[in-house]
Amino acid sequence: MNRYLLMFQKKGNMRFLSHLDLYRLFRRALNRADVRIAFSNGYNPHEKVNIVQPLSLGFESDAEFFEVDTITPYDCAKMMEDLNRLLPEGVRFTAAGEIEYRSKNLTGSITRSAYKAFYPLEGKAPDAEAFLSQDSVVILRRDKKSGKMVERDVKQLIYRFECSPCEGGIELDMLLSSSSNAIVNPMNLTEAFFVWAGLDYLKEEIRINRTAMFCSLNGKEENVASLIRI
Amino acid sequence: MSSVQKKLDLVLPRIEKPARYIGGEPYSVIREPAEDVLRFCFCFADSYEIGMSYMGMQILYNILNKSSHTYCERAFTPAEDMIAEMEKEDIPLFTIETKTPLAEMDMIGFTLQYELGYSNILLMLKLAGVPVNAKDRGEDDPLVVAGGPCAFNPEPLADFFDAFMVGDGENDLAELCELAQKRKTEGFSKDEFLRRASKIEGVYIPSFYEPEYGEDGRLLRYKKLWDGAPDRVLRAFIQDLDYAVFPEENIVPLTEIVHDRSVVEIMRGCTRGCRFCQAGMIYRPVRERSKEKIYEIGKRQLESSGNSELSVLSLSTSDHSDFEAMVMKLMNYCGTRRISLSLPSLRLDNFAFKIMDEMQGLRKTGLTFAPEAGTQRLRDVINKNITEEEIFTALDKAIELGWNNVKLYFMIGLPTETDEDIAGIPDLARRIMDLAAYKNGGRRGRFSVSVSVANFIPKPFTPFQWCAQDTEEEFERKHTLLKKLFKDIKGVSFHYHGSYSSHLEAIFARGGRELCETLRLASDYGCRFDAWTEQFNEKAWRKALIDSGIDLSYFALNEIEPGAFLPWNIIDSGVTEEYLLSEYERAMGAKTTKDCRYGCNGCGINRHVECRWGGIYE
Repeated sequence: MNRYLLMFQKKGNMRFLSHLDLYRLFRRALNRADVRIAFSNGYNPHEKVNIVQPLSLGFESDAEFFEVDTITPYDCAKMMEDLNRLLPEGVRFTAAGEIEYRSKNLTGSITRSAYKAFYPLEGKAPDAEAFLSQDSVVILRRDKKSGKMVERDVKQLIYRFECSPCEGGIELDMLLSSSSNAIVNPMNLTEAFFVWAGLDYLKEEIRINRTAMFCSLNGKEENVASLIRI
Repeated sequence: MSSVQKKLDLVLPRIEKPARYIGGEPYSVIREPAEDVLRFCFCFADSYEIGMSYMGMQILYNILNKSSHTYCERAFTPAEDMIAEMEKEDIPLFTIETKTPLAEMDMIGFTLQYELGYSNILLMLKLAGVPVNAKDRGEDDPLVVAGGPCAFNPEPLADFFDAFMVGDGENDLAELCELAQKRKTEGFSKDEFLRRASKIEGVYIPSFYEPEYGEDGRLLRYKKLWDGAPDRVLRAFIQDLDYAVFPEENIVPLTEIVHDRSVVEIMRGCTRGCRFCQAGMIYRPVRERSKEKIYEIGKRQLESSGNSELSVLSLSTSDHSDFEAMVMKLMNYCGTRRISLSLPSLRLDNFAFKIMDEMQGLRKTGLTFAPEAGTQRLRDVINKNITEEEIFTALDKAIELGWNNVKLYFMIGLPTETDEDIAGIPDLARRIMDLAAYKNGGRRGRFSVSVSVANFIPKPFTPFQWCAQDTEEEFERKHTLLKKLFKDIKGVSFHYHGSYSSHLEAIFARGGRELCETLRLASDYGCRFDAWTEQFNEKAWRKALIDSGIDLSYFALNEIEPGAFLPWNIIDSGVTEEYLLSEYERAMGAKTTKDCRYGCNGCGINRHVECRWGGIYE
C-alpha cells in the first residue's frame, strides 16, 4: 500500500464548492487518471481517500491537502498532471509526494492553520493589538447540536492576529488553532473583531484565504506542505 | 469581471447550494466570442440538477459549440432563495458560463420536456427582463425559440415563441442558428429571418398562422397570414444515428445532479405501439446505433468524465437488434473497472437474469414492471403487451435470485376502464406477495411491493388523442377505492399522483392558443415549479383558468370526435391520422396490434423516411 499527499488550491468561484462535491470531483479525477485507489476492509468497503481538513464553504485556500492510498506505486508528478486535467479552473493540485504509510490519516494530527482575510474597508485599520489584549476574546459560533449561536472565549487559541492596510482595504493575518477539538473559525473571529471595533460591515465582503496548515507528528509541529518532499 | 459576477460574489455566500450557479464545470465552454458570433443560451426551465441530467442539452451544446459561428451557454431556473436575491440585488437572469444577462443573447432556446414546466419558462423570461410575448420583442431583443417533445403541440405557447423546432433537433437547431448568425452579420429584419426560418424542415413560425374558430368556439382551421408559410409543418428527421453527433466529452457537473452518470443513446423510437405513449409515436421510426459505436462512445465518455456509472438510453432497451452482444461488450468493459452499468426498460427474460446475475456489485433491491393496467383486457386496450405469465415467470426467477423489492407502475383513468380493472391492480400486488411468501416457505420476510399509480393523460399524436380524461371527482373516487383495497395487503405500499396537476397537464397537452392567456395569468399569480408537488399552487392555477374563461370541461378534457380539427393539426408528426384512428378503433374493441417488427402496421412514417423494421421478425 502506498500513501500520497497532495496539496491543492481552491480559488475564485470554486470557493462555493462543498466538501462533498470536492470529494466527488477528486474521485472522478482519480478514475479518469486511472489511479487504482485502495479500499478499506469491512462490510461496506470505501475508497481510502481523505481531504485532510474541510474548508468552510466560501473560503479560498492555497493550502489544502488530500491523501490517497493506492494499491500500486505511482509517479507523483504524472499523477498530479493527470488529475489537474479534469479539474475546473480554481481547483488545482500544486504539489504531490509519497508519505510514510500509517494506520491513521493526517486529520487527527492537524494543530493550527494560517489565514489571510481581506475586507474592502475605507479608512483606518482597526487596532488588532488592542482587540487581542482584552481579558477574553469572545466569538459567536453556531452550536452543532442545538443550532443556536453560543459565545466562546478563544483567546488561548489565537497565536497571531494582525491587521494592516493593504490595497483596496485591510488585511488580517491570523494563525489559529485548527485541531479537531479546538477549531477557531477565522470568519467568526473577524466578525467579532469588526463588532468590537464598531465597524458597520457586510459579512459577504469578507474574503478569507487559508495560507498554511500545520500538523504534529511524533511530537514535532511542522508545516503540512513540508511533508511533501518533491 | 462582469457586473453580474460582482453581485454574485455578495449573493452566493448566503444562498443554498451556490455551486449550481458558478459554472466552470469540466468541458463547459468559456469563450470571449467575436462580434459576429451568434450568442445562444440553452434554457432548461427547471433546476440545475434536473436540467443537467438531460442528455439532449449535452448533445445540442456540443453541436453548437463545435461551430465557430455560434457560442452556446446555459441557463436554468434559479431556486426560490436565489430568485429572491436576484430581485433584491437587481441581478438579471444570466448564463452560467460567462454570467452574461440573457437579454444580451441573440437567441434563447428552451427545451419543452413536460407541460408542467411551462410556467417556469415565463418566469425565466421575466427574470431575464426579456418581453414575454413574441409580439412585444423588437429587432434588438433576443429571438426566443423552443424544441423538444412538447413542441409537437406548440399552440399553448404560441404567443411566447418566435419559432418552434419539431422533431429531431440535431440538424434543425444548428440550421436555425446559422440563419440567425447570417442575420447578425447581414442585418436583415426579424420578419425576414422568420420567413427564411419557416423553410427549414421542422420549423414552425406561430406568427404566420391565426386560429379561426366556429360560432360554438371550436377551432376550425388555421389561416395563413403569409402565403409562403407551409400548410403544415412536417417534423424534422435524423436518418441514421450512427452519423448523428453524440458527444464524448460532456459537461461534468461539479455538484450532485439527479442522474450523475455517462449516457449513450442506443436507439431512438420504439416499435411496440403502446397506444397511450407519445414517445412511441413521435420518435418513429426506430433508429439504432451500432454496437461498435455504442461501445466507442460509452468508453470515451467514461474516460473523459471519470464517471463510475454508465447508462444506456432508449425507450425499450431489449429491442435493440444487437442487444445481447452489445450488453456483453459493455459489461466486460465496465466490470473490470468498477463501473456500474445501468440498463433501464429492460425486458426481464432469461438473458436479463443472466446478465443481472453476472453484473458485479449489483444491489438486488429494485425490480421494475410497468403493466400499466390491472387486467389483461385493459392491457389489450392500451396495447401494452406484457402478460401476467411473463410477470410471474420473471418474478419466480427474481425471488430465487434474491430480489426482495418489486416496483409496479400503473395508470388509472385509461379509456374503457371499469372498477374491475382498478381492482386488478391491488389484486396483482397481492398475488405477487403470495408468490413471495410461498417461495420463502410461508413468510413474506423482507419482501415488499411498491405500487405507483399515475393518472392517464391523453397526448397529441397518439391513438388516445381523442379520449377524455377522467374528471377530478372520478380520479379521487378511484384513488379512494384503491386506498381501501390496498389497506389490508401487508408489505405493499401504494403511491398516487394529485389529480389537479394531471388535469393541467392534459389541458396543456391538448389545448390551443387560447391557453397562452391562461399561462400568462398563472405566471402573474405566482405559479412556478408546477412539477414540484410542494410548490404546485393549485389555487392560483384554478383562478388563472377561471379568469381566462377556461372551465374544466374545456375541449382539452372532453372526448373529442374523430375528424374534428385539432390544435396540433398544424404539425405533421409523420404518422398518419388514419393510422391513429384505426388504432383508436382497435383499442375500443380491445384488439391488440402486434409489434411492427412482426409485420408493418402502416403508420405512414415510411412516406418520409426509410423504415427498416416492418416485418423483420417474420
